[in-house]
Amino acid sequence: MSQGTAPLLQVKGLKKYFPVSNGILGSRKRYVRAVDGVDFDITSGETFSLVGESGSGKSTIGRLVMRLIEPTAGTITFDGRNVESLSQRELRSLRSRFQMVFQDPFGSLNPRMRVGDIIAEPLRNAHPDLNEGALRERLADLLDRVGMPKDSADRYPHEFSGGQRQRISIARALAPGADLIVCDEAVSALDVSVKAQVINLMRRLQDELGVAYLFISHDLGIVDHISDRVAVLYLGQLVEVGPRAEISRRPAHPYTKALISAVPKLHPQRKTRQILVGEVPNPISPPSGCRFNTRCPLAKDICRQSVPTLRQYDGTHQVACHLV
Amino acid sequence: MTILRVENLRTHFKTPRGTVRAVEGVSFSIRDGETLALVGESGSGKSVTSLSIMGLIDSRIGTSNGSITLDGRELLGLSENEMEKVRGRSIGMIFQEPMSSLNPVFTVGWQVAEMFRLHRGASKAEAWREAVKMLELVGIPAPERRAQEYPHQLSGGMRQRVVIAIALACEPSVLIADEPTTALDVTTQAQILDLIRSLQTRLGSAVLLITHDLGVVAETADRVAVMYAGSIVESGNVRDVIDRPRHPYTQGLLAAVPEISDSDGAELEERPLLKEIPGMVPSLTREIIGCAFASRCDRARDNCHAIRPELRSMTNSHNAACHYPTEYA
Repeated sequence: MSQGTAPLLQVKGLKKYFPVSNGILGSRKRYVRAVDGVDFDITSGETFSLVGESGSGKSTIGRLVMRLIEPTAGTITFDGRNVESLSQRELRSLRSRFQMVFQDPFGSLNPRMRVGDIIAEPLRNAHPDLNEGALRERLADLLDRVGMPKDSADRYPHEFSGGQRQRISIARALAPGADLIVCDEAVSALDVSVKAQVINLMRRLQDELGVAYLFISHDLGIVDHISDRVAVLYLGQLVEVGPRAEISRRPAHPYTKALISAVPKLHPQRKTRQILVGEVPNPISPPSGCRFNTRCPLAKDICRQSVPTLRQYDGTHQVACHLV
Repeated sequence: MTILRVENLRTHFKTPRGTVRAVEGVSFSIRDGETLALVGESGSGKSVTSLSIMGLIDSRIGTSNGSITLDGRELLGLSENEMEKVRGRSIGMIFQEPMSSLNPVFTVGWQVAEMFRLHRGASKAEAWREAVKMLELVGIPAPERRAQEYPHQLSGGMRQRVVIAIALACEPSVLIADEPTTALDVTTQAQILDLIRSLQTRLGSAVLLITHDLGVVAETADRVAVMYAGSIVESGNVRDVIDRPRHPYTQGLLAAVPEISDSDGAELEERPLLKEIPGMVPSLTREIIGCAFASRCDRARDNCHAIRPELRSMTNSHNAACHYPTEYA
């Protein structure tokens, strides 16, 4: 973890195109451009959030980072090592350092394994030399850290509520000694009061263990609460990246502005609420130029003709828009 | 005028593990043109309340008692045939998942037109014309062409618009919307909530909005009832309840919502931890003695565990079911 200022995770020019069959003849292959040229990096102990709507490519990026799927182009570097060039064996040993927590706490835990075994399995894989006593000690420590009673090790996932299952998932991710946890909508399925418990737990664990989170979410309220930096995705490309407070208070990109203004608030300020017209275009044939131009209230000719690149806006705040 | 009145509704389910008291003595009423939000977490009984009103509780496992009157007419005890005429004609319904409330093997135009044929006795051609008009009203572009498409050909937002078209086709006096935007993206959610609001104004329908999202409540409802463990714990005008909550559960819920802070005020670099409500919702298979929230409440005293607090009036139509409600100067 002590890499100085070198990023823990570095993503460069990341692309993922999924082929779609073209009718029965399949004459010309077409592609869904789920992720289309994305760069970002995450430093140790930081929470970096990816926000966007369905089809923005945020979950695909999470799966690419975990190397659950192979990228079409681009590089992913974890702690200075190119993840794609690793052999299966090397990948397996490195994988103990980046782990994932999924959205559905009912589908992501094996119902036939005891909670203790669910957490111990990655622990054993990462440290095969660990003896039973040390293993048991580590297991008890993990359960305690995520706020689960000691006796839960001997019980099965179905005996626990959704919030408790997410705690178990977090313990499993931490077990092998993860430095980065990819959280794909990890609290989206939870009730408000339980969501707050799990979010607080994640923040405490970060303070205690220095773990970094790649936090993938559509919930801007949660993202504003948990993140250090936020990246906004639209149709597979980053439109804005910056420190949390910059993104929520001084959003520069028209899409980010619309997204934030669309969130229902407890104290609606009767400012003119901006409602985006239309829908996200088909990622098989995205609009030319800026991908947001078909829905952008400010779009001009240049937006339809040339693709804006992500550039410095203010300090570490970056934006991809011709008009700001 | 009060259009829908629910009085002392109790809906219980028989399960192998005992009777689940999903709804336990719920009362409220809605006036013409008004939006009442029922808000609560999973298992609070908000959806079972709406299913009870629509007569969609499977009588083999569940029973509803109490009284539900629509425009003065008692709905509990109506036969399935009679209830079918009420649903669609007098009560419109919108559910969370538009894909599962639409029939995948019929065109969306056919499904909207069916409403006019069944409830208005319209001819096939007439019903189709009305359906296209309805699709246009809910903001579907090129409605003549879209009417001939099947649900899978439409996006989630467009499908929900079709569901709304079906629900409002017969200009029902009450629209029940159960988590209508939960499955949708936030920009689509804003579009759909706006659509429901504008159609409500146009048709003068009362809306019963079931949701877990307090932000949605604040932006759409006139009045709100907060449910916990099958009962209403607080109700009143939306601004009263959100700005001056009386019940500790309502206060806990409001404090647990991480709100995006877009105020231009102080740059809050330090993010405080969210407020948590300790513990979990009580099991509904046992009868709850005293206040259902007492075990999680830092305000609870002995009588909270013994005597169930009734919903009582605080100030102008603001009610709370708590022995020790917060007082405001």
